[in-house]
Amino acid sequence: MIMKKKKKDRRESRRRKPCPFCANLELDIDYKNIDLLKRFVNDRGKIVPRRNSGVCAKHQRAIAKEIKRARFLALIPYVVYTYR
Amino acid sequence: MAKVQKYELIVVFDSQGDESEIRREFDVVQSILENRAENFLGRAEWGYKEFKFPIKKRTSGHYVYYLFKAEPDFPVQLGHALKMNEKVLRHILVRANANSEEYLNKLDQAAPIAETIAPVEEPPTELLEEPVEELLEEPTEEQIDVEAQDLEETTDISDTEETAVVEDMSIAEETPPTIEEVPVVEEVSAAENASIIEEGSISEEPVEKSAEETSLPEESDDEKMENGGINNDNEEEKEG
Repeated sequence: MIMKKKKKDRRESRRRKPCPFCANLELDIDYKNIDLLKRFVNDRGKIVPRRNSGVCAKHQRAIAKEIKRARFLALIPYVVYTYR
Repeated sequence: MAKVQKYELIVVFDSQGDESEIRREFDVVQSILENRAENFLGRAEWGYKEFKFPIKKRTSGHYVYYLFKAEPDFPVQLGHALKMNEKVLRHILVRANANSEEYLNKLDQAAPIAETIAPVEEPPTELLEEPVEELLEEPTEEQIDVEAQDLEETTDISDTEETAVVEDMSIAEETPPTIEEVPVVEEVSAAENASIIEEGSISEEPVEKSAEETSLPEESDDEKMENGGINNDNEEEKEG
């Protein structure tokens, strides 16, 4: 019981960072801006979930859409294979 | 009348073949847009790029960006026309943003068309030989001079540093180097920086320091009290 109480306190005290796109409205989410999109793709080529990236739901949808467009144009890989 | 929309089109052309043929394909697509679209706004070339994965067994292509205004029926017709073209590997048609015209202007200003296409055929062997010789002959002497100057400068700096160290040592030598009076040396140096050479000031400083030192444990005591309070709380919780 004591351990559960402590965990709850930690969760409550942790403050979520603001969405980088809400904070800075000048950032343009676009399939042509590959350097920006690469930040939201992990080393295997997967789209990073918003619980890890800290992006709000609205901008996460926009990012996912633009990443898929960039993938279609072969600017970003669909999958990155890592061989042993 | 349907509403006219602004669209941006990116076409990936096959990079195999002559440059003139590839350029002709750029113009073919542009002519379609100019003839059938409502208003053709511009064209910019991204140039030769390698694909992140092979498309139709090709590993690279030429990317060209078009911006135009058209009615909603036009994209379908354009899609059919581009699919029939064998030189077009892929294309994407998207409704344009507010920033798309700025982007087009940027591309036009940044890179002229001739430089964007990568030179593939001519390896510049003759051009490479001359600069290498120049690099071997001329800059070596300059580099030697520069290095010599750098060495002199470094020696000068070292001399100044040495003098500074010697001065410090002289200050230290003035005071007897006993272990008990080591803090006195520091006080003297501090007094010199503040341009105050009074014995009274030197004697006052340690009193202040001692006061500070004494004040610190008081805070720590408070912290201990706080910690103790927290610990007591935890103990109480455990008991509960």
